[in-house]
Amino acid sequence: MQISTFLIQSEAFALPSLLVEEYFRPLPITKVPGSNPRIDGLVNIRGRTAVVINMRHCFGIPRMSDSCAGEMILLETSQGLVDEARELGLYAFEEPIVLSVDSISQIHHLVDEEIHPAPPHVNQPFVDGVIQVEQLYFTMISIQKLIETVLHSRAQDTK
Amino acid sequence: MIVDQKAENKFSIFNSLITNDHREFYEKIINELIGVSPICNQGKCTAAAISETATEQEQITELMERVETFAAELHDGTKNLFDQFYAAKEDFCRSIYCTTAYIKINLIDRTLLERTCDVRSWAVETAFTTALERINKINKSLDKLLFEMGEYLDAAKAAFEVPTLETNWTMKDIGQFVDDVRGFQPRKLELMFNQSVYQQFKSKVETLSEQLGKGKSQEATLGMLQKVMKSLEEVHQHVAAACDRLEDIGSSYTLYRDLVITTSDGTVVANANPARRANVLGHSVAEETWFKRAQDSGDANDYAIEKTNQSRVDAGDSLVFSTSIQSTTKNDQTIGTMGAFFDLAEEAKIILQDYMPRTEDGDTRDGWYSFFTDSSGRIVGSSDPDIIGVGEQAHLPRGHRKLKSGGTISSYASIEGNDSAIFSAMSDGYLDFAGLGWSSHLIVPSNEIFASEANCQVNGISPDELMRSKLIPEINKDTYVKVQDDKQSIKLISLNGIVFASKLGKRGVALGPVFEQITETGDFATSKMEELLREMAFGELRLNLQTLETFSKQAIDLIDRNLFERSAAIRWWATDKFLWQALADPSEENLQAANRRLRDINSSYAMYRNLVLSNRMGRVVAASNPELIPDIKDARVADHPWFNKSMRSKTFGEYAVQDVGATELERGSRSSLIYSGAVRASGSRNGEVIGVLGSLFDWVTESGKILKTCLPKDRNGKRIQGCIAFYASRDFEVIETSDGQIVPLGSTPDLPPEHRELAAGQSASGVFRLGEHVYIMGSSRSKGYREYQGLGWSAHILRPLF
Repeated sequence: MQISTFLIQSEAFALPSLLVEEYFRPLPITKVPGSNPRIDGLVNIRGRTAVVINMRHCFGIPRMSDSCAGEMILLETSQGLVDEARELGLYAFEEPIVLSVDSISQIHHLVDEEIHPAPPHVNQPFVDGVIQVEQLYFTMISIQKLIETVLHSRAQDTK
Repeated sequence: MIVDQKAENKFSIFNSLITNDHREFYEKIINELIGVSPICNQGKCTAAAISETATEQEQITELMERVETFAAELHDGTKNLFDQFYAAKEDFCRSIYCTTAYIKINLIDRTLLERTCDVRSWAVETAFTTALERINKINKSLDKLLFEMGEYLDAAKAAFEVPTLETNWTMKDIGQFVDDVRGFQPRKLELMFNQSVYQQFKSKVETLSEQLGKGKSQEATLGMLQKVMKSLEEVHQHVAAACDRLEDIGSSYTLYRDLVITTSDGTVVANANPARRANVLGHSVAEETWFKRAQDSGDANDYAIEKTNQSRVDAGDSLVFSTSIQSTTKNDQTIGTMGAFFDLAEEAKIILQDYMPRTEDGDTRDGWYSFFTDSSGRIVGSSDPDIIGVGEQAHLPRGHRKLKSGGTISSYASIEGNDSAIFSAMSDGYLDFAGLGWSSHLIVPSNEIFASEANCQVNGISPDELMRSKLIPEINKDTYVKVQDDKQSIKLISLNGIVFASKLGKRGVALGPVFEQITETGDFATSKMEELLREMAFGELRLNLQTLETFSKQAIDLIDRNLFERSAAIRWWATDKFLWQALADPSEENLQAANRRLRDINSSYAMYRNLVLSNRMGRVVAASNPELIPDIKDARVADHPWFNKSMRSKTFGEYAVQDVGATELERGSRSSLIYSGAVRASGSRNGEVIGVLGSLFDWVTESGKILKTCLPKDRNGKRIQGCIAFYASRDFEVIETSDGQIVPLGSTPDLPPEHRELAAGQSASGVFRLGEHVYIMGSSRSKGYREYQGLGWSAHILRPLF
């Protein structure tokens, strides 16, 4: 398996590359009134509308200064998942979702695919565990939990 | 110049000025980028082989094409970057070295302006006018007197035939003596001005008179001899007085090789340098240009400047400042001239060898030269006369020989076989002084201008902070942003490619290495470009630091030179006749005369607020501006340092300084720098100290003016916002500042150690954080000027980074 890594305030996170549809530079965001603070708004990617989840806000880190634009990751939709991803049982949402991160780092090939459980002090609901690549550790994001948490609370907010 | 903003003159790697480091650098980037094309072709082939659908193949091909376009852009970007790099350096060096050339000629102009004031104020000194008027008169009458003396002696000799003398001298002896004395008749000038000839004559006349006195009817001859002797004696008295006065001046103003007074027909009657006196006095300078021009000058305000190295007076390289001396009794009558031989060679040496980089042994670095040329292009002073010979025609490109007043130019040429850059600036005079049409030239080896700064590091600032600072021109900042942007683009392109390939499963494996290679190449090229940009930024920083050092050095040099003048002036004024007369006999009349004299002096020197004369008891007896002193009737200075220091001075020609500070002699609390000199009884060199003259130098105004001239300017000559210049005392207390808000007077800024621990004449530069402000700062410590040792002050110039 390959993982894609990215940084949020110099902390390294990872998600399976198969869940990434495309990386791109930040696009203009249309704010949506009443949405929860973890959602920046909507972007238009070649005619498709996607919800932007601000990963900084998900970890309770303040917004970046204007000079650093950050980068964006468009996640695969459940429709677009390749067979390999399905076989691995990876989760994808039906609608396009964009993660807004500080910067995208690189792609690693995992040899040993073991994901260690997250240390007990980490009580973020959307962390799957920790993964080690050579000397580096990455926090594995659970896209399923992330989307459920963020979108669920959105649903609650709008009630 | 090698790189011009014009398109036809773009950067070329073949230009000889490009450093080897950069050639290698450029080669590496280009090689990497050239490698992109085959990789992309391989990618396209792989795509054709592995794609199952047309869309898949299109997607990969499109990615490859984006990479190719991008590589081409990077190629152009690299060229542009080098272009900017060299243009920026060249531009900056042009600005800093032309400024240095200008500072040098400006230092000369400022000195020469002071010299024009010197000669004019000395020429009106009564000691000289009185002496000249008497000497001229006696000179005229002496021809007749000596002729008559001859007649009388002839007659007397005839009378001796009759033995009328009651003497044991033989007739032959007497005849011989008469002939001897008579033999002096045609040697009028020697009798008047040559001490030894005069003494010989005197002793012969005395012996002869003694013998003649024993005879009868020799009264007429004796009377004649006495008349001649009396005249000559008076001449010698006047010559001695004038020489004495000139020596007083000469010992206060050591930048003159000699000072002379001549009659209007060009005979030197007095000089300042005792060692040269016998060779100069009584000789004619009528054929010398400086004399002719002084003779033509209309009044005492007019002066002439003439460069010479073959004067009768002095064979050294001198600049003669001359003016006519006017009669005090008959208006507009020129009774003589004064010539002041300014030591040009020494002055040029001081200025030219300064502001040059040195080796560890203290020599000027090879390939660096600095010299002055006159309006005809002849070299008048050189930092290295063995290579750039004084008196020769300078070998300079045309443009450097055709400068306009205040103009600057730079170009490349081969100097002494070295590829060099020449920076020239022409004098534009200073204040009233129009300048002599001279130019200053600075030669810098071109490889030093473009030297690699890859390892350049400056403590206290990170490359990123530096990149954001105001020092970096917008164009470079834009390039920096663009490079980072490119870096991001290439990263995203290849990451997307890898993600895409991974989704193709096993089929995509073949594409993996292609994208990895693209990522590597992109990273390499962009990080190299960032490196170059950083190098450029540090280069810019280094040159800025160098500029600030130059300006701080200029600031401290200007103040040192200014204060040297003050120390010279006080020593001379303290010998003034009106002052010692008023102290010796404080009659109302004498005190008034002293007041008037002080006011006269002060009126031609605007930089003093007051000149104060105190008697030995510390009581102020006269002043140029008595109204400025609170309670003048009761003013006492007995406990003032300047007074005490000068009262204790042991030798003639000493002066004392009281450092900047408030004084009771001033209303309010204005700061003055007080120079003082002892006034000696009868103005004589070993006379007892009978009082002290103090000059209150208007420190704030004068130093403020100088600080302003040393504030950094941008490439268009406009002052850069937010810069600060200040002087600090020996104890690092701010004694004058251009910005009292940020660096207040009297404060002691926390200067970094390398800016505090400077040796005399040394400079330093670096980053300086003051509160929330970040500056770069250049500092220089005073090294004094000639025998003026300076007060241990330092000058600091700050330029904001943000």
